[in-house]
Amino acid sequence: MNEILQVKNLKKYFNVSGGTLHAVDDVSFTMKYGETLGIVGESGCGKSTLGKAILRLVQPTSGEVIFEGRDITRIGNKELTALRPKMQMIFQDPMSSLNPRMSVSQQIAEPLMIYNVYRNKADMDKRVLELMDTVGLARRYVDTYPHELDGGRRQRIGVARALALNPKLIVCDEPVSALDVLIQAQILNLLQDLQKEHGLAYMFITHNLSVVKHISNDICVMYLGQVIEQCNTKELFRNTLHPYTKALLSAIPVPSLNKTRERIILKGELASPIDPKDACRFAPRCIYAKEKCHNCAPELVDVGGNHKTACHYVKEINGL
Amino acid sequence: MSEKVLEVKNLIVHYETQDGVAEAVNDVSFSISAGETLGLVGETGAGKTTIALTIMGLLPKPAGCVISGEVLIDGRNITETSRNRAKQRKNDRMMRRLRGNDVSMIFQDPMSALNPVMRVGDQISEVIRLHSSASRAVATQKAMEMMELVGIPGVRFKDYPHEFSGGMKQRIVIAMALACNPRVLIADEPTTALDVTIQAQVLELMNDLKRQFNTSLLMITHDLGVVAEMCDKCAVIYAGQMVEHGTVEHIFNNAQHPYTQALFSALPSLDKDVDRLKSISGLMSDPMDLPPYCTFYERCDARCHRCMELDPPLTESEPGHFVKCVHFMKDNGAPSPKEGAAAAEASL
Amino acid sequence: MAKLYTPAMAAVAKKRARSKRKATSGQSTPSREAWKRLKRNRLAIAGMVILAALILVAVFADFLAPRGYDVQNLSERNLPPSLKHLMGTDNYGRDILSRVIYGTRVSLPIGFICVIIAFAIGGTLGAIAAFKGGRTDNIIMRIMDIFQSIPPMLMAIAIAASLGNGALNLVLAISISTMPARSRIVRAAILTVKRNDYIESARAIGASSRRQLLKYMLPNAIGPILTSFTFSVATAILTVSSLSYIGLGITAPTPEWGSMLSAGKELLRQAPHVLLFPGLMIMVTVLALNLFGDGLRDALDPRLK
Repeated sequence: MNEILQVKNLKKYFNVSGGTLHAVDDVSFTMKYGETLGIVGESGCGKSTLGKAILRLVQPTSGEVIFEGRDITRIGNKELTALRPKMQMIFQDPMSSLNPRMSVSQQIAEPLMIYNVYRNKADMDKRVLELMDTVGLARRYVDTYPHELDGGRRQRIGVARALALNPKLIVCDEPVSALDVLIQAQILNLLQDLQKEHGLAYMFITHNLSVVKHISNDICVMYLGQVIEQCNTKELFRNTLHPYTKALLSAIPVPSLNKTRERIILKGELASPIDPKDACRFAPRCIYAKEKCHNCAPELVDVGGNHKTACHYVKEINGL
Repeated sequence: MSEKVLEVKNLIVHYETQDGVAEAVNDVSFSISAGETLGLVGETGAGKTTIALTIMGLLPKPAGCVISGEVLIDGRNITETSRNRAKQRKNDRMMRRLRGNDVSMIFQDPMSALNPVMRVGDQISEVIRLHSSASRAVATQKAMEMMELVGIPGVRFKDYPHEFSGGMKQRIVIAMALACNPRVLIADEPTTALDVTIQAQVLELMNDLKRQFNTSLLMITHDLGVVAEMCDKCAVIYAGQMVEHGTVEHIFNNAQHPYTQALFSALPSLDKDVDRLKSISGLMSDPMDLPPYCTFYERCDARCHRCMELDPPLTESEPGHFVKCVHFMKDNGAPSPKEGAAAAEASL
Repeated sequence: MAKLYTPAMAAVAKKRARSKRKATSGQSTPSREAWKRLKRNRLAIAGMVILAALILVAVFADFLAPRGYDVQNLSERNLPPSLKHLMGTDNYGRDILSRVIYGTRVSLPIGFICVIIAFAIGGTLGAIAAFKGGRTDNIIMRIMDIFQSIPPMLMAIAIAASLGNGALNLVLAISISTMPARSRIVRAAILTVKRNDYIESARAIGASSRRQLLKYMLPNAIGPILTSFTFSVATAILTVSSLSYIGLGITAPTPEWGSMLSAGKELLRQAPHVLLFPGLMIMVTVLALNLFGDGLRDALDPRLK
C-alpha cells in the first residue's frame, strides 16, 4: 500500500440564505506517503474547506476520505479521536491559531496531555524541549506567551504542536502566507527538513504558486470548488494546459526585469459558488469559452502522462 | 528626470509609548520626480507605512512624532517638527488642504477604507467637493467619470461598498485617490489583500492611470515582483533605515547590500528549481533597542570587525546606486564583501 | 574615517539612552499585562480601593460600629449629626453610622451572591448554547427570551411578593430575574472566542468538548464576563435596595440601606440625614463598582479603546 490518503468524490455544501454553497464539489485525488500535494487556488475556491473536510473538522456532505485504507467520513467520534494523532494541521494565522492564554510549553504539551502520552511530568517537559529543538525554537522561550513572539516563532509553535504526536499527514493551510519572505523561507526549509526526517506527507494549501512549486511533488489547481488541473509539479509548470492555470501563472509578478512574459489578464472576478449551473465554472472569464462551455460542465480527464484537466477544448487550445 | 515632486529629507520618526521609544524611521531621504514610481520594499515593521503616514500627516498622535527632517511637495515643506501646539494645529489645517489635493493614499485593506453606509458614488464625489469648489452636479459627473475610468460601470454609482467584490472595492479606492488629480499617490500594499489574477488587473490599471495623469507614485510593498512590474526606482528599508537605493536595474541586476541579496535568494522562484531556499537566521532588530552600529550586523553573512565599529552611511557605489554597508564605503579599511564573507567563514 | 554625526543623530542617541534605561521586566502573562494596564487607570484603582474598604468594613463591622445596629434610645430620636452620633440618629434613636456600617454586611453579600447565582445558572446555559449551537442554542435562547420579555424589576417584584419577605427570597428573586441577561453575555463572549482558529486547532489535536470549553473558550472569554460581573453587582445592590424600599426585601430591624431609605422618606423635611447617609452609601458602592468595572474592561480588552 503506497497511498496514505485517497479522496473520492468529496463534496461539502453549505446551506446559506441564497441557496446551497458548493464549497468543495466532487474532488478526488490520492496522496502518497512522504510526499507533498499542493492545493492552489484563489480565495473562495474551497481549498481551506477541502483541508478541513479531510481532517473532518467540517463534516463532508458526501464522498470518501480513505486514510490508510479506512474511510474516515463515517466513523464515530471515538475512532476519530484515536486517529487524530496521525493527521494534524498547521494553520495560516499563527496569532489566532494559538490560545493567547497558554505559554509556549503549554501549547506544545497540549496534544501530549490530551493523549496521555507521558505518565510523569519530567518526561513530558523533556519531550517539549526536544520538540522545540526540532522546530528551531530557542529553549529560552519556553515560558513566553504567543503575544511576545513574532510571526515566525509563533508558526514554529504551530509546527511543534502538530509534530508532537508523530503524525503521518499534516494539512498545512497557508502556513507561510502571513510571514515575511525571509521568515517564509525559514519555515519552508523547516517543513522540508521535517518531511525528510519523519517521512511526513503534506497537503500544502496555498494561493502562492511559487511556494507550491517549490515544495510540492504534485499539484491540484482549484477553481470554485473543483479541481481543474492536476498533475506532477514539473509537468504543470512545463506544460500548463488549462486556461485558468495559464492565466494564474502569467499573473504572478516575477521579481526579475529581463522577463518578457505574455500576460493574460483575466476579465471579471470569481463567479458565485451558490447553486452553480451545469457549466464550466471558469467559462465567464475564459477567453476561449464557446457555447458548449456555458451549457455543460467538463470532466476532469487524463490527457496523457497522468496530467488531468477539466476543459472541453484542452486539445484545441494547446494544439495537442 | 525633471523637477522633484516629492522629496523626503533626513526623516526621523519615533513612536513614544509607555514601554519606551520605538525608532520607526531613522534618517530616510528620497525623492520622486513627476511621473516616476518609487518602490519602498521591506519586511513588516521596517517602517514603510510610518514613512507613508508621515508624508500624509496621518501619524497616530500623540505617540508618533517627527523628530527631524522634512517632507517637501513641489518644494514646499509640509512637516512641522515644532512642539508648539498652535503651530501644529495650523500645520494640520494646511495638511488637510494638501491631502487629497496634492497627495493621496491608497490603503492595503479596501474594506476598511470605504464607509460601509455610504453609496460609493457619494464617497467619491464627496472627496471631489471637499477639495475643490465644484458644485454637487459637477462633482457627481466627475465621480461617474472616475468610476468609468477604473473600469466600474457608472450605473453602479448608487451601490453600497458591500455590493462590490474586493478587487472592485480597491478600484473604487483608487478612483477616490485619483479624483482630485493628485501630484503624488502613495499606495501602501495596494494589492496584498487581493488574489493574483485580481492583483494583475489592479496593477495594470494603476500603471495605465499613472501614465495618463503623469502622477508620481510611491509604491509600498513587500513583494519584489510588484516592484519589478511597477517601479522605476527602488529603496530597500531595514529597521527604519534605507539600506539600498537605486534604479530597479541596480537593485534587481546588481543588488549590493547583503540584506537585499538575502531577500532575493529567499524567494522561491517559478523559473529555477532549487532544493532549498537560502534564508538568513534571526530577526530584524527591535526598533526599541537598535544597536549603535550596523543594524543588519547580527544577520549578515558578510560582516566583519568594522561593521561593529560604526553605523555606515549611505554611500554611492555607482552613479545613482546607494548602499548602506561598510564594504562600499570609500577608504573604510574594511575588506570587500567577498573577502568579508570569507573572513567570517574562516573565523567560525 | 570618523562617523558623520548630524544633530538629528545626536537626538537619536539621546532617545536611545533613555529608552534603554527601561529594563525589561520579567515574563509577562496576559493577566499580568492586564494588571499593568489596570494599575495605570487611576479611577479604576480608586474604585478598587473603595470596594476593598467596604469589604473590610463589612468584615470588621463589630469593631467599627460604635453601637449595635438595633440599640434603640427613644430619647435621642432624629438627632442631626454630631460628635456623639457622626451620622445622627433615626426615628427610633438608633445610631445611623452603626446601621450604615452593619448595612455593608447585608447589601454587599446579597449583591454578590445574586450575581454569582445568576451567572452560575444563566452563564452555564449561555455557554452550552454558544458551544453547541444549532438547535440546543435555539431552544435555550428562546426560553431565555420568554424570561426576558418580562421587565426584570417587575419579575423580581412578582417573585419577591409571592415568596414573601426575607433575604433568601430576595436573592432568588433577583437571581432569576437577571439570569437571562447574564446568559446572553456569556453566550456572546463565547461566540466571539469560538471564531478564532485556536478552537479549530484544539479540535485538530483531538481536544474533547469539555477541554475546548474549559481551557480554550472560557479563559479567553473571561474578560467581558468579569467586567459584566462587576456591573451586575452594582445593579443587584440597587435592586436589593429598591425592593427593600418598597417593602419587599429585607425588613426591619435588619439595617439594609434601601429599607433605611424607606424609613427615612417620611422624615425628609425634619431629618434629611436619616435618608442622606444610606443613600450616599448606595451611591458610593455602585460608583466604585462601576469605576472598577470600567477599568477592568479597558485593561482586559485593550483593543476596545
